Amino acid sequence: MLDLIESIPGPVFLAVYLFYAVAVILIMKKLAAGNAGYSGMPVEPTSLSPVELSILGNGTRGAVVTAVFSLWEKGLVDVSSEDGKVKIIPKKGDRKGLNSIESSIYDRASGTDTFLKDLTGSGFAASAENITAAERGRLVNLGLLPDIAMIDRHRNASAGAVILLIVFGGIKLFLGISNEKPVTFLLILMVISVIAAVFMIRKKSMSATESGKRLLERSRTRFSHLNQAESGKSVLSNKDLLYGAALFGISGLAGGAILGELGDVALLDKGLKSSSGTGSGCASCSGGCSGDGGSGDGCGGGCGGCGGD
Amino acid sequence: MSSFAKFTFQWHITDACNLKCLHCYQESHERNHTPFHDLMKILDSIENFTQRLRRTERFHINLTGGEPFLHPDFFNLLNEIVKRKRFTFGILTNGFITGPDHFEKLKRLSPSSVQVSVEGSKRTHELIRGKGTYGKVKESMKLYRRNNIPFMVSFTANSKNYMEFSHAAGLAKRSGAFKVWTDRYIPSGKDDPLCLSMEEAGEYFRFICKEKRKRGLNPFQKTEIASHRALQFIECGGAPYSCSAGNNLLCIMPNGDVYPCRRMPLLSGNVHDQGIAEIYEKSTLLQKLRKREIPAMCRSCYYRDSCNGGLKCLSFSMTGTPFLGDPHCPIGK
Repeated sequence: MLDLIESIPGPVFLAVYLFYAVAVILIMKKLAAGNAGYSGMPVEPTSLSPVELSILGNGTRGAVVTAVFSLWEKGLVDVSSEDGKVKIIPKKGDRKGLNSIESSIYDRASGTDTFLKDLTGSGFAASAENITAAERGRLVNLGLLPDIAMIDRHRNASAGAVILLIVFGGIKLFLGISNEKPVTFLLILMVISVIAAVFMIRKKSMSATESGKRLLERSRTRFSHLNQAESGKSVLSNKDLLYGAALFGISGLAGGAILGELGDVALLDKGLKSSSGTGSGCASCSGGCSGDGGSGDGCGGGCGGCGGD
Repeated sequence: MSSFAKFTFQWHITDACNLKCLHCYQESHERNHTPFHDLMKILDSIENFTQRLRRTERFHINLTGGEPFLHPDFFNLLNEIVKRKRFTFGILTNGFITGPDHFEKLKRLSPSSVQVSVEGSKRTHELIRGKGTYGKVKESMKLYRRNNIPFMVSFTANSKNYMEFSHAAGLAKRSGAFKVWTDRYIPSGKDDPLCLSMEEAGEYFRFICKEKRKRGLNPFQKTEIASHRALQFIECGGAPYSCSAGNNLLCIMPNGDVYPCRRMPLLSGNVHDQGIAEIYEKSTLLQKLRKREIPAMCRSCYYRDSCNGGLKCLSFSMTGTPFLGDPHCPIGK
């Protein structure tokens, strides 16, 4: 085996290693997924609340944006901005029907110009995880977020892929160094492959499963009229408004045409995004996010006629 | 009036038809034309009703049959409708009847649309509509296009053709139709083999959605793939359609019978006994339809107010009552 690896010329080995790395990643990803892609009857988007859809699409920070927007829409907070700093000012009103995260934000809303920043800080992020535990639990039970077993399976598959990549490349690397051959390109390729394997296979607790991703796609199609509407005013009075904000981000509503109608509220997306500092909270991507709000990736984006009309 | 959507009359002026389609809900194809003086009486009744409604917009009449062009007084009726300046009108036809000055006359009358039906691929279309009909409908669409008369294509999805929606949409696009209109077949009872199952209905909605996406990718494509019929929003998005039967839609049969909709043949009155206004106001069925009570299966649904139970005619044909909710709806299950 060692002789065979040693006999492969360097440039050819690089190509072989590239194919090997792709195959390892794909196989391990498939093994990790198991039959998670199947979930029986598709989940009805409106059986989830807008906050739950935000968690699924954009993580806890997405849920924070949706919750603040919902409070504003219910007339319980005002949003204003001074010198680029967004303030959330609580107002008196009927708090009946608020969900746990809305209640929590409403209780904490202080009107200070650091409040929005505080919302995205690690302190609140941790408590927001607790506040949304019930919603996340429901998403796990529905197979839309990964359960512990699935996360473990992905972690193990990711570790397995890393080992396979390091062992195979490492042998050639060792032989190359022993024979005083150049190994820089192989080393670079190994590092890239290992990073790719980790990012492509591992599953974070807040990243949607295949069923979850399908539900998000279905939901975005269902509410696409809010994203594609030409008039911001009509979207603002639409009863699906919160679903639209959860799925497309506030600035994604009416393809951005809503911003003129919203005033300072439009800064919510931006405020949360810029203050988060880690690239997470991608609620403002009008193209939609593919799940992993916590890590910051996934962004970027005659007959039959009754004559009615 | 609970909604301000345009009021539409679907007016069947004859039972006569040159085709006998597999899915037709007409029992007789006899030459049972409404006589011209009765047509005028009905038109007067429609006009009187629209005046009583005191609404400013024009009302719409869809003229159909049978095959409306088989009625010897069809063009006289169209002339009269245009003369009254109160209505827009459309024609639902199989498109086969084209006399020598047919298109010139139609152009002068300026219908908002002429609707022809396509049932899928040639094989399926002819299985449903008869041999030789596919070529004829293609030719007919060519003629309408050549004469600049706006036409649309209707596709009625049943268990034999729902998977061929893209064929119909493709033909419509190539032929220059301005719109493809589609809805589910309404069976004659729950054992009707042409009736879609719930799964098939879902798949059919996804086919519509796929065609819409394809259209969205092509900026030069002018044919609209309409997806605003009941439950289509589930897969295609947009606001739910709410059945307008008995509210903004009335159907008048050749003998003067009035139904809430042709696909819900529940007698609400007869124009020869009462005026349409009286039927509309006094029929208990129409009153109940206008109440928009939410069906029991829909009470916890997010869309209960906007959708109001999907296709009432499907509920009627499968359960005997229009008020139970759409049997194909997966949300209430």
